[in-house]
Amino acid sequence: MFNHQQQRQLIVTCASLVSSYACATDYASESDFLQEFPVVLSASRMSQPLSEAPNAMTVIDRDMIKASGFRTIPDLFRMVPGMYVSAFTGNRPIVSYHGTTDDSARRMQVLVDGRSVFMPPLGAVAWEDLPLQIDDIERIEVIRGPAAASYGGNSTQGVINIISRDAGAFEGVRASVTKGNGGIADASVSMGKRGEKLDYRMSFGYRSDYGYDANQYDINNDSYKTRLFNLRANYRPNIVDNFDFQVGYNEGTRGDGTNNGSPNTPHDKHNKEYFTQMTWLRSLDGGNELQLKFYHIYQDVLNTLEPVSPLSDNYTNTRDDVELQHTLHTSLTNRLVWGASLRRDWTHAPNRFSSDQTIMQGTLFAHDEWRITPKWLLNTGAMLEDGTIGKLNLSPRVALIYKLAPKQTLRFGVSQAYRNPSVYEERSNYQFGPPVNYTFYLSSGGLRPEMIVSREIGYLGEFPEYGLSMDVRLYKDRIRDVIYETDLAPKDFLNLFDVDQHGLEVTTKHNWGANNRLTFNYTYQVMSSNVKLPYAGDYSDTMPRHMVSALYSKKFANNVNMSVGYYQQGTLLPIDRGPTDRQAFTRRWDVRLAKQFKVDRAGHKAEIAFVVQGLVGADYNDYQIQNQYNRRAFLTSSVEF
Amino acid sequence: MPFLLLVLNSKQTHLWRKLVWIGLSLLLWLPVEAIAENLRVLLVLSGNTALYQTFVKGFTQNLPSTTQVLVQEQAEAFVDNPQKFDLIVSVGLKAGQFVGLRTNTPLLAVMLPKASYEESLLKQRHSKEISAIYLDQPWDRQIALVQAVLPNINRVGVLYSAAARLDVADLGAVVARHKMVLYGQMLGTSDGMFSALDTLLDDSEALLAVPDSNIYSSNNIRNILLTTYRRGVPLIGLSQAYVNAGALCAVFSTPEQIAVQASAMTLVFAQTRKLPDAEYPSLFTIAVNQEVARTLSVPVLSPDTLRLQMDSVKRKAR
Repeated sequence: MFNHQQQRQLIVTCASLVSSYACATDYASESDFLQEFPVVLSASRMSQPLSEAPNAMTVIDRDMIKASGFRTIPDLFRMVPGMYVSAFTGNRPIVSYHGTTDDSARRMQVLVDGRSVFMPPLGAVAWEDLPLQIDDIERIEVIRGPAAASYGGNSTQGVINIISRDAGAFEGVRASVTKGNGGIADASVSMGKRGEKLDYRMSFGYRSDYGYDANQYDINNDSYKTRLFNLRANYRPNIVDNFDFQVGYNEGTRGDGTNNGSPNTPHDKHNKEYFTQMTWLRSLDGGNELQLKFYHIYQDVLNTLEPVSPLSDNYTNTRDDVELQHTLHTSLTNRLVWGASLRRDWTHAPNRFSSDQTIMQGTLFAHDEWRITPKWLLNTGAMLEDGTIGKLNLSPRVALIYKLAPKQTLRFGVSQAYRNPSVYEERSNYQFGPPVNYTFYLSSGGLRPEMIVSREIGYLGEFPEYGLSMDVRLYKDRIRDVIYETDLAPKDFLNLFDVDQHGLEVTTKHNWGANNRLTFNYTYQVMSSNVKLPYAGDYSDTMPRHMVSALYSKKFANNVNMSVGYYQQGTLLPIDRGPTDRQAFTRRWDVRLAKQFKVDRAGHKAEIAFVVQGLVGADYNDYQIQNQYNRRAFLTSSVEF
Repeated sequence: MPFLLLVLNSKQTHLWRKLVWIGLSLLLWLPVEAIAENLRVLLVLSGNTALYQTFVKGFTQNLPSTTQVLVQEQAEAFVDNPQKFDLIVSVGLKAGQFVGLRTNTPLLAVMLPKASYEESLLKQRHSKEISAIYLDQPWDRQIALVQAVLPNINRVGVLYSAAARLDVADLGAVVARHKMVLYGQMLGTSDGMFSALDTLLDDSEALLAVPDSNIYSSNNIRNILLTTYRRGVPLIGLSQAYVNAGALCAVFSTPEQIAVQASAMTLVFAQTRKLPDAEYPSLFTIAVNQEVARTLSVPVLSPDTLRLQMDSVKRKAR
């Protein structure tokens, strides 16, 4: 212990510390006005206003995500005009824009925080394997139309850009549990912490259901159990540098196979996916910035039928990608974003390729935004792409935007984009040895890249006096040299046909007061092609002609929220399905009812939400006849503290 | 004469300098004993960073070269010498506090917040020969800017802690005069800042920043801006740095602008041997973050247009 003198000394020291502290902090000083700050809302962090974007864009924000009641990410795209959401099986969702859709949608880029999750070997997005929970999403921007100039290859029909919540998005702990029919059982715990130089959040999640076979396990086995982890941290060592770090892990069983006599008998696949991503953002003078991003993705699917027959269709993929991007304001009215990227994809899939596949791809891109006058804005951009497969492609885009009035704009856009063949289309050798002895796919190779030319006219109008906004897009697309599979086994991939698509997409948003919100989407699309596909009917029939979706949400007093979703889809026959799989005209109504409580005086909140999907409307089939969708109801309880 | 000039609002500082020089030339015709060349001024700075040096440069440039100006960069080293100086100009709060309580020489305190001046200097000092040029903008000016930039909003939020010594009633009255409602949220010592901010943003269409290091620190600014951006509520900042960081706009006075006003006040003192009453900055700058404005779908206006609109807004509010 201290002796007397030491104690006195201690007291004196403390007192002087306190007084100097008090002197420094007691009164606001000039430094409260004149302190330096880092650039927070830089060009790359903010979304472009819809009225200035070079493409039509649908934004799905957190409020909409919550109000929709959807449990999984693919379902959210039902709220995007022109988007077809379905599923090959209960654990293999399909999200596709403007048709040419088979079980993997190959013509749309999907990014999570700038990380392309459109993966080899199939060239598809493994939605259920994404290490991202729906609650970790800040917003989703869906670009409708080719955007290769800004988002690189595969953006031939559109881009889904998922932006996850910032590392410092919340502080505290949130937990939720969901239970419902059809085996729905989800749980999630997340925590967030904000600090002086470091913010982080992490979440653990579990998601499961029985897929489509809630009542009919005999026909297909497509249940899943997914466990996932996601961490995001943001570190700011000084005023100009910002490091963002993310890791994610997803692992679980996916029911596969059927009882319909195929050798692919019911069994569980074991899927695993993880990623790490690092982004360094350096703020430069004049609002300019430099961004360096690196990510690595690892996917592993263990798909083995044992011990009945030693069949396996395992595969492992990795992707490494590095991208440098420089944003600079060349004048008060001109902003340029340019950069380059290099990617290496590697696939080990002994049943699908005769050897391991390594695909390199490099891009060089530039995008310029020029405010010619306050009324005219010109967006120009181009991407140059080259790689192991395909050829050197240049994908340019021009969009001219005219401000009719302060809140009304017209957009005229023309773009051309290429899609290089995927490694699977170019080099597949998908075969099984004895006892099956069967070759499903054998590529002859030498494919030309697909090319799309898209023309569009867009109108955006805001009428704040009526709480109304409107987004209309009229488009005409032509895709040349569509790469498609041949009819008879072993199937090959060929540049089989050309496609013409035109249509109209309308989104309106309406707010009454502060408590009512209605989003309405309407899609009209007409498709035609020069070939009749042997296995499908008329090509024009492969997408619904009319689609409607609407989401209405209302806040009542006493913290009660109600929302109603309506999803209507015209009849269609997916391009690679036979006549029995025809999807009839469907209408589906979803309802969510939620009540929030204050748990204690400190303001900690809890919520109970009840969701019924398909409350009204007959059961329908998705993509193939055995995917019978029936009503689902679930209850979610959550707490925040 | 220079004092009258100060009441005018002019667009550019260099124009101001000219006017001050005209004022100075006029002063040369005044009786000999009032001429500034006899004046001995001590500038006491709160530090020697570029900020204070900019003030020194601006201040001395705007005085006749015959005025004796001595600069003391370290406020702590100040020793009172009543015979040596006619006027002390303290730059920043620290210098003001150090000098104010140690001398009876007339003191002009500049570049410090109004509340800090009143509490820590005006109330504490024995000698009443003291005046100030605050660093804050008058509420009326700030709210006029809010209304010029966001003409359709009705609800303004302000988050503050006790340390800010914010006169909420006064601010509320100004906001009301502009036909808007103020939502003030006081941050208690145990409250989480971000949950308080979230609650406040439920009711606010714009958030007004105040000089309060418990809230608007360089550590917090990132998450404050990201939160307001997510909620679609623009932040009204206090400086160019705020606007660069992501605030929608700000009205503020630069050290150069304060220096012009300080030198003019010094000349009044030279003439009358009396300091005018404490003042808000008469010269100010408006900054708008055009990219933030566009993202928030706020019609973008130039600072000059905004200045004109502020004048008309202020006239209407009277």
